[in-house]
Formats: sequence, C-alpha cells, structure tokens
Amino acid sequence: MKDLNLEQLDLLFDEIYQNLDVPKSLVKEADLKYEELSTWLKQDSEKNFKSNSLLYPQGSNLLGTCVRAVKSSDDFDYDLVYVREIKKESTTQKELKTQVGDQLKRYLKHQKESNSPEIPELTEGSRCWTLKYGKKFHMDILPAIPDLEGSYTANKEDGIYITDKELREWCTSNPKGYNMWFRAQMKEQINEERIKLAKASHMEVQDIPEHEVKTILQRAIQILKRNRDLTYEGHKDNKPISVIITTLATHSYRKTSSLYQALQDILTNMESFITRKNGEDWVTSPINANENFANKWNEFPERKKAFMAWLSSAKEEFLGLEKQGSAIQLSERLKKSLGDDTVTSALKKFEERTIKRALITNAVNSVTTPTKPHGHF
Amino acid sequence: MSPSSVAIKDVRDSLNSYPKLSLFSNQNVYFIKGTWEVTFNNIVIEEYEIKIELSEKYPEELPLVFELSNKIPKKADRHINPKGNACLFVDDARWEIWPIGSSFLNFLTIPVSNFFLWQVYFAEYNQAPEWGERGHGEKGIIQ
Repeated sequence: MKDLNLEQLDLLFDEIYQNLDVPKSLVKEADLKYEELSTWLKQDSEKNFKSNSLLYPQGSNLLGTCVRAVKSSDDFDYDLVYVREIKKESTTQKELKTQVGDQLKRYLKHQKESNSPEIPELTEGSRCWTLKYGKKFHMDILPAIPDLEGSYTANKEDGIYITDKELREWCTSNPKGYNMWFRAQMKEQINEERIKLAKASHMEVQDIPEHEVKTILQRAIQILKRNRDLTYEGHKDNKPISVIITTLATHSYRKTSSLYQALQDILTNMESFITRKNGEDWVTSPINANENFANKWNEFPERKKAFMAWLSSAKEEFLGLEKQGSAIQLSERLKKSLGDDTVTSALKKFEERTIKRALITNAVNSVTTPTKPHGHF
Repeated sequence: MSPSSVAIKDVRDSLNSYPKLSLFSNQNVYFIKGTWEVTFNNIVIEEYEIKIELSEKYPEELPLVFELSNKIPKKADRHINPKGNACLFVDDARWEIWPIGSSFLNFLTIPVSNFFLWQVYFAEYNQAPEWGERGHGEKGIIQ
C-alpha cells in the first residue's frame, strides 16, 4: 500500500477536524440560552445591586477552539465570565461568589415561575457556578469584578479579578485581551478563510464575521485538545490545561496553510516556549509578562510531568505520518489518538473525496481543447 | 424569425448524445433544459440543472447557458455574468472555438463541457485548473 502524500494527509485531517467541531445546532441553542441569561442577569444586577454587570464568553468558546465531547453522551462546555461592575474594596471573593450564586438561584426560580420548558441544574465549583442543560451542554459561569490596574499589554480595560475558593488572593485574568492576541497572531489566515467562505457561500467578505471561520491554527488546536482529552479521560486532575496548549501552539505556528504541517510545526516547537524564571517553569501570558499559566506546575510537579508525557505521546502519534502507509493503516493508528467514531467517519469522507479528486484530475487531464471561461461585466 | 430548420435538426441530433437534455419550443422560441453531467469514464462526478437558450438569430448568436441548480455562485469570478448566463469564452475567441457552421454537438462537448468541468475543479480546489481562465472585462479580451 502506498504512503499518503501531504495533500492526502491534509485532506484526511481536514475531515477529522470537522468531526471535532461541536454541532452548530447545539452551539446555536447554547447561544440563545446565554443571551437570555445575560439579559436577565443584567436586569437583576441593576435591580438588586444598583450596579451594571456583563456576561460574556471566554476560553475556547471565545477562541473558536471548542471540541466535541469524547463520548457522544457527554455535554460540551460553554464558558462564560460574569463581571459585576463593583470595586474590589467593596466585596470579598466569598461574597461575590455567593451573590452570583443567589442571582443564578433567582434566575432558576424565574424560569420555573415562567414555566420554561427547560430548567437547568445549578451546581457550585471551586471557581465558577455551573448551569447544566440536560446532556447537551453546561455553562460554567465565572464570577468576576473589573481589574483596572492589571499590567496587560492588550485590552487593559478588560482585566478582571476572579474568585477561587482554594486561594485567599484574588486571581487575575483577561479573556478578551487574550482573545485579541490570539486572533492577531492569525489575522491574515482569518481573512483568507473569510474570502474562501465568501466565495463558497455566494456572500461578500465583509458579511462573513470572524467567528464564522476556522483557521488552520484553530483546527490544529482542536485536534491537539481532542488527543489530550482522550489521553486524560478519567484522570482530569493532571490534564494539561487548554490555555497552555493554545498559547504554546500559537507561538509555534508557522502560518502554514496545511493542517498536517501545522501539527508538525506545533508539536516540534511548542516545548521551546516553556521558559524558566527564578527556578520556576513559566508559560508566560502573551498579554501580561507577570502572569504564568503554568504556575500550578511548580506547586504540583506531577502536572508538568503529565504535560510532558502528553507532548511526548502526541509527537509519537502525529509526527512523520507520511511514512505510515495507506489511509486505512494510518486511520487505524489515528483511532487511538483521536477516537474511533471520529476517525472512522472521517476516513469514509476522505475516501469519497479522494475518489472525486482523482476523477476530476483525470477529467481535466483528458481535455484536448481547453477553453478558458471568461467574465465580462 | 426563428432558427432555421437545418439548425434545429442539428440541435436535435446533437442531443441524442445527451439523453438528460431535452429541446423545447414555444412560439418559435427554442430552449434546452435538463441535467448536465460532469463525468469521467462514464462515472458522474457532479450534476447541474441547466437551461440553454437559442435566440432567434441562432446560430449567428451564441446560445446562452444558465445553471439553475444554484451550485455555482452567480459571480464574475465564477464566470457567470450579471444576467446569470455562463461566460464560456471571450467573444473574439468564438471563431476559433465554435465557428458558425460548427455542430451544436461541438458547442456542448467543448466550451459547455469545459465550463462545467472548470466549475467542479474550482469547487473542489478553490482554484482554476491548469488550463486557466481569462480575466474579466477588457483584461480578459487582451489576454
């Protein structure tokens, strides 16, 4: 059996990535619930606290790197930040967390009283509150207040303090600033994808919003996150966190338009962006030189060990696949890395597209009198 | 005025090679409708619903080809002009590609066939096949 060439590998990974996306209908449903909750919380905050508040997406939900759950019976995460516009001196982490919990309880009461067909289940986590909508999705709502003093290099005004039960000091974050940085690193690729989608969907480029397209970098991150999720299924404590994978992958991305090549570049280079400062491991926030995404590695060395073990196995699983034989042989190997259903369905589509491409190429090569179509307007 | 009976007979005869296309007439206006298949070795790669209008002055005037299934974006960069018909080739090239006196079969097997194959290739690869394309407007004529 012949090895796959780079074009075929790209085609196969392109089909795989499409199976990792959360179904659009589910995202749309979650978007509607988010908008409804956002409006309600804003009104509740004005009524009960005489202050403004804002609920907005964060994490992979904002970055466009959400991955479908490994098991079809599992739901997907819809991460949100809820910022109450109050001063740090006027509250404590505990009070803020409790008040947000009370707001969400009032929201559920309101839902019940208005006979809403679906009442989510509310639970408390160490950092956030979770609203679970059956087996479809859950919203993690992270309580926050503005941090106007943070030393961010992007979106300084969007810095926030967030609550954490396990920590006495407020933690800082800036999801909007991070998103700005992430998207700036692939600005050209976003525009290229918008042009492609506009061409394919009979639309004008300016009518295609950025979040409607996926770049090679976003797809590569989704593939790596799926591999991470499978590797750490059932061992969530040490699972490498998404922001570390995303940051290191973005630094390592070489702007290639090939998904397979992007995976090669990322896996080969990502370790070199982990640095040492004062004897500690650092994955520096790209928008705040004082923020270390890997700070927990120093407290829990097993987490660094888990990251390095994942990286090492991902290299073994994804590097040099062009020497791994036919699509079927390769797929057998990838099933272990990315999931049986995901790869089986991708392989079927890959085979159909490969046959179609071969037919098109043969048909084009058999044209004896080429004529060039012309556009006159 | 309508196309000559000789010209219409040639069209009918040509359509024998394309059983999924049929000739219709309405008060001396002739048009062809049906399914255009892009094939290789009799394997269908893609299908398009099409209509070909023959003007009163056919064959002096070129037939107009319309894609009805909306698989091809109706845009200049997909070689569809603002009236919705396919831009098969630059007008000045007609004398080389399909001179007056040529059979309608040649029209179908060369420019129409190439046009739809070009579309299939573009849809799959997001670029023109190696034989290329002409630019739009005056630029295309100069090429």
